[in-house]
Amino acid sequence: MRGARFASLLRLLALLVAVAFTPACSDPEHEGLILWHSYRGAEAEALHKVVGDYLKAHPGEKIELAAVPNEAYANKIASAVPRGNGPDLFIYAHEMVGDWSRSGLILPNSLLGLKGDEAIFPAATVQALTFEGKTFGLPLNTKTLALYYRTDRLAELGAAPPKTTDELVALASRFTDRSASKFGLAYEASNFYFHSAWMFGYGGAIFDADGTPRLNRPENAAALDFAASLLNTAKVVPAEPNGALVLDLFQTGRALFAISGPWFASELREGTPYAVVPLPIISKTGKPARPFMTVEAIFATTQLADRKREQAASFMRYFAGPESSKVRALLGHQTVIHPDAFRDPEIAENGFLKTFATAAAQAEPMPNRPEMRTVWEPANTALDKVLRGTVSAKEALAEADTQLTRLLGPAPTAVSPRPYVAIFLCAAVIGSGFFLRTLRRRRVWERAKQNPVAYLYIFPAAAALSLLVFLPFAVGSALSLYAHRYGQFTFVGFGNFLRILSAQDYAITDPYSFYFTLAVTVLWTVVNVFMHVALGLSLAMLLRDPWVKLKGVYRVLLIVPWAIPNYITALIWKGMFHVEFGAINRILALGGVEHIDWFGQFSTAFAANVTTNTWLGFPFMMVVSLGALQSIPRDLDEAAEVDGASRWQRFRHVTLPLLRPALVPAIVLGSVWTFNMFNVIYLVSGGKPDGSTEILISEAYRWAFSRQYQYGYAAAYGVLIFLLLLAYTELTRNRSEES
Amino acid sequence: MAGVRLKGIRKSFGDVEVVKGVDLEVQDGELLIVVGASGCGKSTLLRLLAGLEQPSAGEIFIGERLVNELPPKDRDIAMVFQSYALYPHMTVRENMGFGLTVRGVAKSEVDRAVNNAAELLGLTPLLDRLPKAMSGGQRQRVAMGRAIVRKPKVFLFDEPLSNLDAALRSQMRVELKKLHKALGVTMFYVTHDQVEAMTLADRICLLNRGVVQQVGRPDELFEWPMNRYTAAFLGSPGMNFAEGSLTDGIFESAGLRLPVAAAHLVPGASSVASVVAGVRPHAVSVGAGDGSISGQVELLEPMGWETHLHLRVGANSWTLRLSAEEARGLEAGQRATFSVPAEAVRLFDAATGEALCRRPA
Repeated sequence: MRGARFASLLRLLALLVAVAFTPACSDPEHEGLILWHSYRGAEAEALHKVVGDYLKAHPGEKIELAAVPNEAYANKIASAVPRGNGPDLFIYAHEMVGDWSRSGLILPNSLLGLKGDEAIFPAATVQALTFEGKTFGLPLNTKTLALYYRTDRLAELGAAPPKTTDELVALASRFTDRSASKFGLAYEASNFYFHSAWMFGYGGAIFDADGTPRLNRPENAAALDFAASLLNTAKVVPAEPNGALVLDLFQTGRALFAISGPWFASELREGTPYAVVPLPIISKTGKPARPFMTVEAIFATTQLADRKREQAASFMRYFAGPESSKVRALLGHQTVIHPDAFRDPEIAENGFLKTFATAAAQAEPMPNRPEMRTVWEPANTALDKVLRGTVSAKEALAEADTQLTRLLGPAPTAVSPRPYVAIFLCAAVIGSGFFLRTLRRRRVWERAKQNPVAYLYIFPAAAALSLLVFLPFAVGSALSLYAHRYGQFTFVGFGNFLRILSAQDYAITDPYSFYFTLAVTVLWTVVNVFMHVALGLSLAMLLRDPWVKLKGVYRVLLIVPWAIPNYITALIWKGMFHVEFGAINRILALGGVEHIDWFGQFSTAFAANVTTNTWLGFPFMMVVSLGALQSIPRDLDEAAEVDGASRWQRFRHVTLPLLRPALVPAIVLGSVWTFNMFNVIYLVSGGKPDGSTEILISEAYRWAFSRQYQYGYAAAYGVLIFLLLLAYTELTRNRSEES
Repeated sequence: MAGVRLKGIRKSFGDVEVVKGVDLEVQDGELLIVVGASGCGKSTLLRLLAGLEQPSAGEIFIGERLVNELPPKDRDIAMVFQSYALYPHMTVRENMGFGLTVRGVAKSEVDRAVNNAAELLGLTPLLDRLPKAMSGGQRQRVAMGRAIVRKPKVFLFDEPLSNLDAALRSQMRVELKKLHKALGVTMFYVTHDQVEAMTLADRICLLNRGVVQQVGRPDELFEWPMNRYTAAFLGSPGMNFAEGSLTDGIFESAGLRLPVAAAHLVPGASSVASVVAGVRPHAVSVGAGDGSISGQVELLEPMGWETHLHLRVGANSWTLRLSAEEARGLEAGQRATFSVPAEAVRLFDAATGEALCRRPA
């Protein structure tokens, strides 16, 4: 009876889970089309209106819309379509076309009868959707960069918008006044995405004709030198710029020009006097600056039933067409590109739309090759190095190429999983034998029979733990035995571990090597925990003193750093360490200390990370120490005082030994937290300079998400981190138990 | 070794004055006990002497040295805490040697001093134990051992026996007395227990609300209290009091007629309209006499060797101590008369509480 009820409960649970994880999906019987998108707000409104208009004109047809969160979008497409759970149509940026084409997820236009429709769109946008000779989907709108300028500030200078980079630099120089924090040009100079404008404008490239990435080209070096000159010679660009800084400088009128995309306009405070023009012509080459462009397009998936192809093509044509473009532009504020839409005066006279349409025509489509995603990190590192002036552009690019070659090197060789399976099975049999023996020895079955209710109470927690901890752990561990390339997992056994531990790819002194990162991580942990304990304990001792007034207030204030979400604190500290605008450099300047480029060398970047994490970590140690101190009778301290012990001796011989039982577990815990403190590293130094301040956990993240999606390699890092921490806790357990 | 001298000591915590001008001298080698009810300021006095608190006014001398500004460690004192304050993570040996170790005394010397003290206190077999593995009495002894090892000029005791059970307390009392004899060192001892004070002290200082009531030998305080507070505080059961008038050396009140020994009366105090008479419970005997007490028997408490009799005398209830033999035949409810010798009567000013009887010269 009870069993039956339990079973039905489980079934219900399974159903709920299934429903929760399944967005609207295609059903072969279903006659309509399913369309996925990730629009919100005005864009979603425009989409609904366009679909409504279409259905009005095509009675009897059905289109079902499903909004999928942007973060999960690409993964969902990749996992749902092959199983027939995906959409018939979807809207997404073009960068994944190469991947999707290779894994056969999207239909080329030739199979939809859309070949003839491509010609009307700007060539660059169609090129963006083309991979290995086939074109996929129809372009809807683009995102690229243009030049924003303050109309009021430019009028003050009595000048027209610059046509060339020379004009741009000249105007920017006239405007720049660093002592008043005024900069002629604000843009994210150290971000490769923004740098692309100069690179392609100088005639540079990323890929050879055969698809091999190669950055070390004279044109690319010239573009880097130009960017460095903006920052270091003309000094019209602020150092360490980020999106928030650019926005702030521009809308407060402290920047004359800003380079950004269409999104920038919606971020600007209302009433900011601005206008936007296409990027200027590179004076040196006479060619326009050509930034990256992303093209948003509507794609058909391979799960689209043959009989629905015509219906789908008709809708795609309409959706990318002029009427829809007008709605999407005016209602959805999208920078549409259909030339016929610009025949409409309402759109043709909109300077903003026109500028971005012009910009799109001269822009460089973001390469849709899967290799592109691996280019970012080496390219950004090279850019960062050149801007900091540590190496020449040529050297930096050569290093980036070396790095790219390593990352894109031949896939690890597959090995036969058989011996591993055999070992695993043996281990499983022996392990479960031991487990069963322990169960029998401890008489778990008998006890379970005696107290079934107790086990029922434990069940939810046990189920949650297995689902949230043990299962991911097992999956992660298994993953470490595979290598991942372009959606393909290859079994490589302990190959990843061997590559990591033998340091065969990178010398031990290379920031990419496991041992280098391990050393940094250990240093990071030791320094942090020492600072946490020293600061936390001293503050606790101060707060314990009976003569301190307003103790409650101090205690609350000192716990605040702990109460604030740590990523917010990390971002605040990062801001304070900003070379140009950071509070710390400004305070140091009062003391006559030269501006320190905090993230320019290892020691200061590491110190910045440690400072942030100390700020985050001391309250925990303080609270633990305060609690422990309060349990030490005051008498003991007085007895020692009468016995003749100095303040230090009392602390060292009486207070500290009595704090030990509370402190040792806190230190073990603190070390583990610090060892894996991803947020601070990622947000404050971000591994700068050159990835040298990365710790193991953030390095694992880089391997997984910005270096060719080497999930297996990253998982091996994860397993190694786990083993290290396991060994550490085992070693310290005896000590904490003893105290 | 040295004596201790307190001159005009005052101590306030915020607005509350806890010690209100204490002058007190402890002789070299003397065991002086400060006794008083809780909150009378006796522990504060001890902590002032130890240097754990700073006086608001006044001077403290240890020997000939003014120590007001000296930290505890430079005062050459040792203190035994009520809680013993043993360092829980150290063995007995380490606890006892701590005061010497932190002063940088050589290890061999520390060992010798610890062994000697342990010998004296019978702690030798316990030297390697931790405090948590010992009984209350043993810990108490370790606390004393820790004080002894350093050979300080003055020992300070803060209610050292109050955490022990009754039997152990009386045993430790005896040991403490022996220890004082053996060491012959100055001891400043604080307690709320009058039995401890009476049995141990060379001299007692009775403190009430931060003011010294009387300083003297235990028997002196008991026999010749200088005020009504002292008279009432010492003795168990306490002294019986009644308000009345004194006429030509005879005290009269409802149920009482007590002639007072003329030699005891302070000059000019033979006739006073309003006085308080005090009689110790043990000073009476059954039957009429020159001085007489009569009233109704309320209750009898036979103790075996003696009987406490509660007698309604006028508006007061008096407690009388009779031998078991004397009490035979007395019953609750009956009226009875008792006699008091004139030498046993003490008189106090009704308004100020000051004694009107003095020890005859």
